[in-house]
Amino acid sequence: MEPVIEIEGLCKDFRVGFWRRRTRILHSLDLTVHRGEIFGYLGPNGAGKTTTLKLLTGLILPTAGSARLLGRDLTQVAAKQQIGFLPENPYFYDYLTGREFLDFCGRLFGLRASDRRERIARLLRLVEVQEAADHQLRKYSKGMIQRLGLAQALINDPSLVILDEPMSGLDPLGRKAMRDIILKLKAEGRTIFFSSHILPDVEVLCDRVGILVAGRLRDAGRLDQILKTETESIELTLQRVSPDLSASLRNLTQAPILDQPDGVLVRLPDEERLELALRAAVAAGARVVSVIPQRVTLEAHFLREVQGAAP
Amino acid sequence: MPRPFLQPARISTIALLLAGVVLFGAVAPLHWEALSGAQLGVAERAFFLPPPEALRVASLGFNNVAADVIWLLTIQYIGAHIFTDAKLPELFQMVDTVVTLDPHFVEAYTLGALFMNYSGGNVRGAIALLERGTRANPTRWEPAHDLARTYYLDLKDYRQALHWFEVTDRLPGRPHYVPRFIARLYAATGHRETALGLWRAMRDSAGSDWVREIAEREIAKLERPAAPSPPQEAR
Amino acid sequence: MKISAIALNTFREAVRDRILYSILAFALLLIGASAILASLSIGQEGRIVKDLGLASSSLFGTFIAIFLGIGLVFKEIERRTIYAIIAKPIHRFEFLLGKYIGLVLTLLVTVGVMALLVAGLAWAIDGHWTSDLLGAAALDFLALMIVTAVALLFSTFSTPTLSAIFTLAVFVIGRLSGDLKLFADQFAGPGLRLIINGMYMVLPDLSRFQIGAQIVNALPLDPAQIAWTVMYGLAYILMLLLLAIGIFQRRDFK
Repeated sequence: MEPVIEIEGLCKDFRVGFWRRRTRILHSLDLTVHRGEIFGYLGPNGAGKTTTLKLLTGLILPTAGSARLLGRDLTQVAAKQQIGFLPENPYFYDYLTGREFLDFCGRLFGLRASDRRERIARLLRLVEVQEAADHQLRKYSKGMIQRLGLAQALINDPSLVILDEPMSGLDPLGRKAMRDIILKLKAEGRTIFFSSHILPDVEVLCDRVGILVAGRLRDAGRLDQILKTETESIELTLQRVSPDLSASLRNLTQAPILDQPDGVLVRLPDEERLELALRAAVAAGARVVSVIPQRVTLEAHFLREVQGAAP
Repeated sequence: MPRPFLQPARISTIALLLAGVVLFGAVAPLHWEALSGAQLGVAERAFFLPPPEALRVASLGFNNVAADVIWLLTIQYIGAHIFTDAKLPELFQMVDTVVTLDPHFVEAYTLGALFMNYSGGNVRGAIALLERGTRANPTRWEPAHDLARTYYLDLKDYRQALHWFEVTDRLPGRPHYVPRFIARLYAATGHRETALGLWRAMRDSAGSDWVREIAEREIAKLERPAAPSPPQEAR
Repeated sequence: MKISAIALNTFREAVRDRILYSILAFALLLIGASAILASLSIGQEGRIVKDLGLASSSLFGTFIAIFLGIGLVFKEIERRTIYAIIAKPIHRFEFLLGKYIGLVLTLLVTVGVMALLVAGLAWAIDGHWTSDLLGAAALDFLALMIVTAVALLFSTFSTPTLSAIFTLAVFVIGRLSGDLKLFADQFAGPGLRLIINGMYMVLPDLSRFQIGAQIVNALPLDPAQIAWTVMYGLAYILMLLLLAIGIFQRRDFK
């Protein structure tokens, strides 16, 4: 799978504060995104996610390092012909109507009038903004602007789609629609690189993730490889537990035993002790209600990474 | 994001209001005074006219507009005084300001000199002004012509009148009667032969009957042995 | 073409901000003022209408050029509308040129209509059409384009308040620079003369674009002089735009 985004040693300094002191925001970032995958770029606020995306799209200039998009160097304007970008909390010209704005964007890609017309109609339907297409953008709600933003990111039929917080401003229905569109884009063979801090969405969508903390990439790779597949614990729920069984379970497993309304909950640390507990419970005539393995969530992993980096 | 106060629509509205204030503010008080006949304000204003060079700089290159505004003030000043006390002490200063701001404003010289002379009784001032006008506008006939007329009618200085009529004769657009005045003035200053020559040339090249008749009348007058009297002209 | 897309969009923004309605209001003002003035002069109506008309449309145009020009780039960055544009395959200089041409187009329409109105009024008063008036307005428009380019230049790196002050200062000095140079040549000592001549070279000499007085006074025009002035104007605009592009290329849009 060829790389669609290759970032090597990318650094960015800003001059911050009254003394205009040079502060490094991004420290020598190395990152690769492959064709056809959905890559989630995570990090706490201020980590440098938006800075990275702005560097990729040419909105800011790197201090050091380089990046290649679709095989072309960052600095080449031609690379952007195949890229669609949705900025965070986007603002567009509010005196234009939705249709006029998309047409304007189409012109910037050099699309012919017939192509523009056809794509605008299709995209307006896709993001469900067609009723407001001829209203001025100043009348649009936040969610509608966000959806229109996705449309303008897709107008050039891009092979790489870069989204900065695509779920912001969307209600649950909108978020589901956005997730569906992203999966559809992947099915069409496009590569999607998006930043977010809504972890459940990332878990659902992404093939690979990268976690950026304080300007450094702390982790990057396949989601299932990052999260330990070993379970953290297994919850066993039993009914008809006699006090004797309770005591023997405690002896056997050294695991915490909690009384629940629907039975007794035993939190077991591993599979061996699960087997011991199951055998003991069945032998004592208890009823097994459920056996639920608790996996490490992305959230937990994320928090660990962030706190680990904290000074 | 809140819309900023200075949007284009508001900017152009403010610009228009300012333009309106300036246009009407400069013009309306003048008109009001002309309507109501109030005199005091305009006459006194002349005393506080800033020096022309300062006005020139302040007008940021729009000095011809400044000249126009001061000219309107001047007209009001004249109108306020001409039928009342008939004294125009500030007229010279005001006209001087106008022509300093725009040396090519020919009517300021001619009309200014007219009022200075006939209403203000200041012939010398009028002549000085007109001479300045000829220097600044050497291709315009009006100042030279008015100089000639002033010397002829008011000062009876026929030599100077002749000089300035000859200057006028060479300038584009000069009135049709100028050559005839030149011929008469040559006669009046004792150059009979030159005058006869000019009249004969005019008679021979006359494009219309009445010019030919005038020429023949003048030739007859000059050929009579009696001394010629001061020229009269029925135009 | 991408520059024209940006330019037409900038023009469309100005139109939708109802700037063009102000022309109508200006026209009414002009006619009203002229009617009043006609009763005040003793035969100089034509001259006064032409002088005042050309001057007001020039000033009005300058005002608009400055206040729209200083926001051309600044507004896009501050409102973050520029993000969606620069991320597309368009060179930064194409964006800048498009904004400039869009504003110039807007000014052309507004000032052009006003100049035509003045010429029409002069026709009504004089009884004949003076096309030279439009020539004077056209040359003055070139000066307006310079002021617009100055405003654009400041807009690429400065806040609106500072940009307005600087552009206004350049405009005032520019209009007076002809007089300043004369003053320096005649009265100033060698040190001051050097400084003033230096300033004269760097800042635009806007006074040479004013031929209104010559037209109104029916004075002969010097075609060579005018040609030089036009070339000077175009060269100066080019220099300003190159400077603006240079600054704009290096900007981070945070």
